[in-house]
Amino acid sequence: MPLAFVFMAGLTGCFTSFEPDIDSKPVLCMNSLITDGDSIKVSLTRTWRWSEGVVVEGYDQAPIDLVVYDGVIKLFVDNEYKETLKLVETEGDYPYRKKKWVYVAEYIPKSGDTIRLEALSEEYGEASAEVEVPYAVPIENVDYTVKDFVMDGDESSMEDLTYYFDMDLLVWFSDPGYTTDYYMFKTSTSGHKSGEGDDGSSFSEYIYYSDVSDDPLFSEHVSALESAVGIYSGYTFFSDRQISGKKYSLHVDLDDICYCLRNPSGHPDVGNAEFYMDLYTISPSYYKHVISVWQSNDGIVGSLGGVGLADPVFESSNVSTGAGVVAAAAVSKYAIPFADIREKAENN
Amino acid sequence: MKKKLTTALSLAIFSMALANASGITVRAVAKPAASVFEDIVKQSGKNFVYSSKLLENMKVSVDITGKSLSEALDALFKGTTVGYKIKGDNVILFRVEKKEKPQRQNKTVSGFVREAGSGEALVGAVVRGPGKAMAVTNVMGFYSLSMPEGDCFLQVSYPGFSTANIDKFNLVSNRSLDIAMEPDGAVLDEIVVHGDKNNSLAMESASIGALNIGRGIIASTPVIFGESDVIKALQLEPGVSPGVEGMAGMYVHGGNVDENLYMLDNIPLYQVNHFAGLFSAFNTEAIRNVDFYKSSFPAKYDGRLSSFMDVHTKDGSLEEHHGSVKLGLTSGAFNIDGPIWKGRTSYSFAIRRSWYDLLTIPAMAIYNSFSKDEKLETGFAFTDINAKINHRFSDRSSAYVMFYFGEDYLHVKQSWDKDVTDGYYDLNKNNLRWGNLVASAGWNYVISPSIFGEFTAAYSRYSSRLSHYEEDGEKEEGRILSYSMSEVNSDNNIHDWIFRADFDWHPHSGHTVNFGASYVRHGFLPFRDRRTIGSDSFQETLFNKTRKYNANEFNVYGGGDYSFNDNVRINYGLHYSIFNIEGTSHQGLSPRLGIKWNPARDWAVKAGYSKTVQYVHQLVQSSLSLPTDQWVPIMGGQKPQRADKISAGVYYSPETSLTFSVEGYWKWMNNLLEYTDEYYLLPPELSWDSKMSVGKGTSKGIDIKVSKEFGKISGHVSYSLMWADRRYPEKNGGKKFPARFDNRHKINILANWKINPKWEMNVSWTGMSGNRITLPTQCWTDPELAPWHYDMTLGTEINNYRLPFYHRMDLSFTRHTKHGFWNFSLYNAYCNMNTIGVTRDYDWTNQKPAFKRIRILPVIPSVSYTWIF
Repeated sequence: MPLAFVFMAGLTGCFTSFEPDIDSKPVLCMNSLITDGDSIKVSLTRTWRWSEGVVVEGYDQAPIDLVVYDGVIKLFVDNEYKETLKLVETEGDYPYRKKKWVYVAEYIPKSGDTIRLEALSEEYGEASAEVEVPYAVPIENVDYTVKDFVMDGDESSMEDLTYYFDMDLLVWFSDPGYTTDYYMFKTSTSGHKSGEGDDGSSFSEYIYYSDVSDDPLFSEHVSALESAVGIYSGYTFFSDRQISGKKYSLHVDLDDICYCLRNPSGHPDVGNAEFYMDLYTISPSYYKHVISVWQSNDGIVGSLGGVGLADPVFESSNVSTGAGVVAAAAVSKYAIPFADIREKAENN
Repeated sequence: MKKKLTTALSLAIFSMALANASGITVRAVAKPAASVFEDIVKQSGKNFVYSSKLLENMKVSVDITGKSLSEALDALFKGTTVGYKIKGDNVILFRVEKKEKPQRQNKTVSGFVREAGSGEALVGAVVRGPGKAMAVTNVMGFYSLSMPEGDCFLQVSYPGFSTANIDKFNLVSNRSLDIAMEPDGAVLDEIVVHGDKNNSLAMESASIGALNIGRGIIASTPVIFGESDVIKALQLEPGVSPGVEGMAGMYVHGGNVDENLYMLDNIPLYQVNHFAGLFSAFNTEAIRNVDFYKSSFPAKYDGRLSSFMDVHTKDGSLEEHHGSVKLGLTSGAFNIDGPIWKGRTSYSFAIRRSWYDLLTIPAMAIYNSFSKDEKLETGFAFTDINAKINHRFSDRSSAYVMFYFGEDYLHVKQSWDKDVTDGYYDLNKNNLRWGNLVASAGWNYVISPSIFGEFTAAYSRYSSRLSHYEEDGEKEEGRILSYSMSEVNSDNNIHDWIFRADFDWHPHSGHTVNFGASYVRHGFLPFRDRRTIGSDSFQETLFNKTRKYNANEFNVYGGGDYSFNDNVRINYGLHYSIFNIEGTSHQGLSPRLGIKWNPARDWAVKAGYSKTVQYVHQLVQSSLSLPTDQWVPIMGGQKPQRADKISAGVYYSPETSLTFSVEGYWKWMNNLLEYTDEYYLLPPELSWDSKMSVGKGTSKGIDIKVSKEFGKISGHVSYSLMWADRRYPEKNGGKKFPARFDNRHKINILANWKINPKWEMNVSWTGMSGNRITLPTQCWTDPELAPWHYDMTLGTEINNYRLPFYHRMDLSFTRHTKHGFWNFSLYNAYCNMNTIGVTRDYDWTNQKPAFKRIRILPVIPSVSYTWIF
């Protein structure tokens, strides 16, 4: 219904550009994902007024450079000063961002550390945030069934060989229960290889699939009204509030898996792909941020707020300026070799 | 005796000799009357005949210069028992026996004021008698006047009806007198009716901000899609902010949307909107009239902070059957009423239903015929049913039963390959159903000519049910091989059982007393959520939570209206309530006081104070009316919401059809409840009380209105100057912020022009300062934690931006035909698309990111036909 109204508004509405007469000043924004065993990298930027310009490449105009180069970021671990981070230039990780400036620490955090970052810039002031690195919760077991397993091609040939199948998985883990825990679940594979063998023949290995995991825990942030008007989760973030202290199995569906091999014979590295089940334990700041992003994009309040029918949803931040997220995570992985999957399929 | 006469004669002769033609001059302070009189005798030159005993022991004070004899004697004997007679040159003094005026005893005239023909009770009609005798008819049209016996008359006025004059009659004992009033349209064309009720109330009652509007005004107010609507008619009143464009919202004097008590025949309704708030739940065809209070509240009403609106439905004609069928663009309505037992029992029935689903059914059929694998069914409808039966047992006793049902229903069903016998399929079903049900029965009894009693038992229910079901699976030869499903069900509802007794007592002329008591048994189900998943191998209910509470509410009230004299009247009252929930009792004591003074004939000055207490509130997420905006009671450590309001007004009515008013108010609200910032990050199933913030609010303003209720051209022009703010410790960093609908200036013009017997034109224009919105301007870099990426929004102060000035004109034309009327209307006639919000977008013309105003609703024409039989 509200979406109908939004639709109606969109249908009959028109949009006119203007500049609101509201004064606003940029402040520091600090983003960092701290993981157990990885060095700490912090992106220190400033906020910008929306109408100031574009911030990514791809438009006719050059993007605004938001990086704060004169920042001083101090690292505290368990309330003890450790070091001042260094600004380094790294490779960008998106086509629209070829270079990336980050502040890096030498200290390698571990689960249980309370990390505090304090940033200072002459022009944009101060910012600080604190996060505790969570402990990983191990995946105890994964039960899975393989369905509709089809092999297209000849294993001994030099031609393409493709396996098609679906998998239903139950990913078992036990929530520790003594504190509120937040999780993120992901699936991934190792099967992305290509190259040339010693004999000069080319080979490749790719896996495509649809992760249609729809465990009810993934929808726990979706209200009844949102469910009823057809807003789905699309998220794999969840909390332990329904399973606190219990053993639980996540229901995971991987559909339309297509494992494509080219010239597998003679290349022992090809055909040994693994499917990974990754269970991340994430910090509250991480969870709140991603939920706020979901609410802003998909939730009813965010949708209505976008057209002026409700208060806007602000993306959650744990940085003192209200800009940025200092998040932490620890991951537990479980690997399922393709060989096991194939064997299971053949035994069925 | 002889001696006395001798004395008199000698005095007379003496006085003749000293006659003074230049007038009489006497000065005396508490002197014996005899000596002063002698002075006058000397100066007058007349013969005086009197008994000397007449002036014995009498003392007088007098100060006259150059007066005539009669003036001198008048001054001398004023207030005494001495009289005089001048006959030629003789003046005779004599004793005047003071006649005691016979004491006139008060007698009571009581009865019902009804519409001629149909016998419908007229609520709020003003009945006037001689002197300060005045009464206003109650909800059953009953009045009672206490007046001195002897020659009397009555004058009755009511908006839309010609004034009824009951000529002189001799009141010798208590008597019953029912009055039938003729609608002015039946007898008048262009005559200005004198003594309309609103003007009378404005000039004579002590109430501030009270309004009684009839169905005619509601029906003639032009609105979107031509769907006449009582709330949209009230949006044109000063001090009432309409909320979002096109919606039937009502924010009275800076209050929130849940601070209005909407009643249907005195029974509270919780959900009063259809289609997310585009229409209200009140079918105009079923309405008789509406009482609306925004400043002075009668002692009878409490339970909401900002306003009280009582919609009185039609009783039905006792004389003949009639009705109407209305066909509009968005809905159709049918109503009929008439006698079951002529003169005794009447019925009234009205139904309204939207058309949308009739449009979507063929559209879906066409879509599905082209789509091989996907099938889509969707439908939305709202329905209102009003039914009422009235029965008069006698002139003193009558009873009624009333039923109301209003519901919105939305369903969407989507399937892919559901009917295949082999292969995969998907099914997705969503159903939403929400609305009210009210059933009530009442008995009205004239206990004595001066006491009227009304006894009511009622059941009121609000219910909202949402369900979502999805299933995907695989079939082989029509048999399901495997499947997985997910189901979400959510309910919230309120069940109220209401028992009340209300009395009107008219102890004597110029004094009316209202008192009564009620008990309400509330059953709250704020939420019942159940989430189930399953497959061919298992089914598990992961979440099944119910929050359910019962509450008891007692109310006692007493109040009245008292005239000290023709110029000064007070309205007083006290409402006491107890709300008990989960073993905790909350109490509320709500005093009310209003005073009116007429410094001159056409002027009135008023002042008032009202306190109100609210025990239930609505959790509102947006400016739309959503089925999840559940009503919940105060819980845990929460306290009842309270408001204190002072108001004052000046009224000028140079003629009875025209009234100028200036009303000011200042309201303080405490224990207000609103969602905290970032409440949406908390689990949906988490108890609402942990997501709420308790705060304060103030509102103040001035309402100015010039209204003309009758004549060929009628309507009003009004202006409001308003301020409204809020402060919550957990919102906006604890700083005060303006309310969303803090519309600083608001101007309304409403005019009805009866062009001729066939054509009528209505125009309304609204101009007001824009609503406030929260507009963040700064963005921050995406931390790239979520699956999708975009620029983040930096939080800012709440409601920091005011939208541009809002203005709109609506027009409607009514063409009366032999059997009904056509209505042609234009919403937003000059197509000023108003801004409802601001979005961040990219301006491709100027090649840069830009803020963009979202402007909606262009001119919308509509047409409807109403067939009257």
